[in-house]
Amino acid sequence: MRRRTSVLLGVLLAALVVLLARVAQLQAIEGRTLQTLAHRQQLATIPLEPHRGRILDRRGRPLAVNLNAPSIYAVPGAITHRRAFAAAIGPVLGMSSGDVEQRLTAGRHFAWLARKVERQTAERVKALNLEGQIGFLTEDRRVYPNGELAAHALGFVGIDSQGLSGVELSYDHVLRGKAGRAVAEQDGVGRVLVETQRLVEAPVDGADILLTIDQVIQHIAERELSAVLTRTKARRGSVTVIDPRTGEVLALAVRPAYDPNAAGAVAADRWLPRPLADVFEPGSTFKIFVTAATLDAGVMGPADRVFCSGTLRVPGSHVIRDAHNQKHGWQTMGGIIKNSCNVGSAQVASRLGKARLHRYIRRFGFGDPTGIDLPGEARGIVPAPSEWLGPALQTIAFGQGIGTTALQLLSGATVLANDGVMVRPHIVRAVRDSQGRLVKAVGTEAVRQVVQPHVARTVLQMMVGAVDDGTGAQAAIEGYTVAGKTGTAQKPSPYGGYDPSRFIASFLGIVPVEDPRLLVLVVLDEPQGVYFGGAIAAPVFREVASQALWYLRVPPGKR
Amino acid sequence: MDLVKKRAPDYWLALAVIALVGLGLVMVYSASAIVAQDRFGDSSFFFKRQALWVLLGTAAAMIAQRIHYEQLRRVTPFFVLVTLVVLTLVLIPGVGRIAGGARRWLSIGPASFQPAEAAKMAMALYMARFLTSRTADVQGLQRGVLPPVLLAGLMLGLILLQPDMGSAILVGLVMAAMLFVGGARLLHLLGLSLAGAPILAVAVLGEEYRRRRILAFLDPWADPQGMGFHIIQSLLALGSGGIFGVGLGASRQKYFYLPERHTDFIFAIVGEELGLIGTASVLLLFALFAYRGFRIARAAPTRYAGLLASGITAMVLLQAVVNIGVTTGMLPITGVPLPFLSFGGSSLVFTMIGVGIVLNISQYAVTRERGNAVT
Repeated sequence: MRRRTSVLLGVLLAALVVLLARVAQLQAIEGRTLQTLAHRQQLATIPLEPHRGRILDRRGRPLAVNLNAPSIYAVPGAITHRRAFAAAIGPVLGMSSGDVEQRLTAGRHFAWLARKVERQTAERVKALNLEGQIGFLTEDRRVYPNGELAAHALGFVGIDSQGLSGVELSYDHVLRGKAGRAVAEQDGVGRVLVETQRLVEAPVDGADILLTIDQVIQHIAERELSAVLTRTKARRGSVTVIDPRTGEVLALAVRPAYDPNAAGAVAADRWLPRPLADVFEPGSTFKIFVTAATLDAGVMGPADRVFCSGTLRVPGSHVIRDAHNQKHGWQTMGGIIKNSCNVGSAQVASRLGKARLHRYIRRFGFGDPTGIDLPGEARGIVPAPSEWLGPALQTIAFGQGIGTTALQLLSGATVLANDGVMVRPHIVRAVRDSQGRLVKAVGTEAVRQVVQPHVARTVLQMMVGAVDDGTGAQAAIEGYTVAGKTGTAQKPSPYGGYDPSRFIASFLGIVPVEDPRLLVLVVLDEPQGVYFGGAIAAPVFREVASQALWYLRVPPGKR
Repeated sequence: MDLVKKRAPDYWLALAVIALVGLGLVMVYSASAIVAQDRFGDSSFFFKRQALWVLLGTAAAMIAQRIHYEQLRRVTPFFVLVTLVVLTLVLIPGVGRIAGGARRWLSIGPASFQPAEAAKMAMALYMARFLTSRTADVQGLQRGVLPPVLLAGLMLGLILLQPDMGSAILVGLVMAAMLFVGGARLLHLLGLSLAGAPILAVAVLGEEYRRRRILAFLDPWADPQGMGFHIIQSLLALGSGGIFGVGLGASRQKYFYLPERHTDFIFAIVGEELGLIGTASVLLLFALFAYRGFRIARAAPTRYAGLLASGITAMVLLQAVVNIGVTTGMLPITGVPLPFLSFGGSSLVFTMIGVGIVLNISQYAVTRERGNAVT
């Protein structure tokens, strides 16, 4: 028996030795590895969100800012009765119990319940005494204090304050900043032990952006646009104001608009920045570019004339007519602009020829995005000359058979205001870091010399004629010299050809001609009743431009 | 030699026990404080109870140490009978209390106890008595091996119905160890284990959760959030401790990562807070306990005393080996507490009674002259 007792002792001691070897292996040899694994679960990485940069107008007035908003999360691991939890908290958050339970499946330690809620909602949730099962975080909520104002320039953000459209999207990398990082110990059910938190990397706040938009001019443009839409019952419209010398967009008004504070509440097509996203046939405003091309090519001089008999037979056995069945008789180039003579324009284009006209159209920037620093820009439609079938050369002369955006027309028109040099439109003026230091200032970018300086000045003077005693008479502003061009384009019919009852009325104007400060394009889509650009779009230009001139204190100085 | 001179109890054994119990009390507090604070708003909730059990256990050991071991032989049948009764009672719904999916606890007033803990002790007492009874023939099959196997079978069956796999295995191991010490034929023991293996296999593999536990033991990382969770968290705790430990009270794994942190997996917390130094010390103390326990058995004045001392020492050591084996991922998970250290009254009190019995036997040790053995 003694021997067997000793054997049993030996066996048990051997087992203890094996265990000793095992703990030595686990603790001395694999200790470091296991400790790393343990730390991985014990340390929670807490992202430290930077503050998103603000968006300000050109004079520093806030257009997009951040407000503190409470967000509520759940600790699913700490909730024993999910159904009861959901039943308690669901009604307060305005969520169904099922939705709440669904959210609890997001993770063991953390599940968002509601983000960026109202303060009162958070208070009511706090009153439920769900200590340990839920937590609160203060987040930045993007707020647009002016509501709809400049919504299409600003854009809006998603729930994580990520830019989704407008400047919020195109400058997201500037506005966003850089997230920082802290680590803290957490327990097995995901509760972070706050006292153990330590900073690893501080967040860098996003930079502020100063737009070229002027809040006041923007407001003027939106107000006048809303008024004209009410008057004419047009489906939609836009008023875009740029500084022709610099390309700075001063106002980008689109109606109907949306409130970027609740962008999701309306159909997505309301978000479209129509002046750069919508492609349409410009109609007669396009004549100014054809005229400039003809003069620059030297095909005709300003005083050379063509005869307008009211109709013109063109290739493909079509007949071009002038509006109101007018016969303009002998017309100079200036007369064509002044009277918006289609027959004359068509003859001029015929003399210029397809290849040259196409080349000039492209040099004016049509068929390419202008390169504005906003997302969603269309390139327009400029068919190659080989595709100009039938009367295409003659109709393109007055803006049919070509697709442009409003912004392309504006960009092309900067040529006329700048002695032949085209400048690129842009919407951001400067970037300032969170300490207010200037990081970047955006200057004027000249794209190219499109026509000779004297040609630009000549066309501008022809446009003055259109306002002084032509189709654009209603655009005249007391005390200032206005250059302008009307446009009234039939819209293509879905059944082919043109719809005789649907129009796009437009007016493009530059003021004051002596030292251009404002370049404005008014576009009204499907106005009811009177539909001529000169009758309904020109007055909008007059209202917007006159108020803006007064606001900018541009002294009157008519020659 | 009719009268053996009574000597002082074995101090080394007592010292090992005191050290283990003392360390256990400290570690129970350290491991349980966070959970106790969270669950009961009192960080010393478990500590206070364990302290009470330590007092009770110490008193029980001191009483047992003063009762002559021969007295135990007489009360053994009664004790075995009571054990069988409570093992049956605990299975009755409404009488037995369910915790952790098994019906293991009997509530007596404010206290509750686990009959399975009594069963291990009953088996040791029974085997010592049986193997020294006049009718027994340990070399034989019918009069040697069969009777204890039948009793063990009954006990095992009742315990498995709870179900409590760990305790059942230990009861069987105690029986086997004592048959071995008592002189049973190795052939019989081999046959017994061959017969036991398929039963064990069926018991394990027949139950879905046990099967998955086995699989988890083989590859815990295959299901780190599920069945592998216990083992992985235990290994992470041990590994985090390294050689010197993160310091007493500084465990991170006790923050709701490691389950059963102050009961079955307390050894992992010892390893995390006190490092290899701590775990090796615990193993050393158990080795000391084994050495002194079997030394007492060898020097025991009678065969009965020797068997009883061996059985109790083996019972404590087997539990320790199984528990630490589980904690270090060398054995599949079975709910066996670590003697002296794990939180839990039933285990501690019965183990301390056993210690008292061994200490009592140590007082009657027979001194042998070198090379002059006395039988």
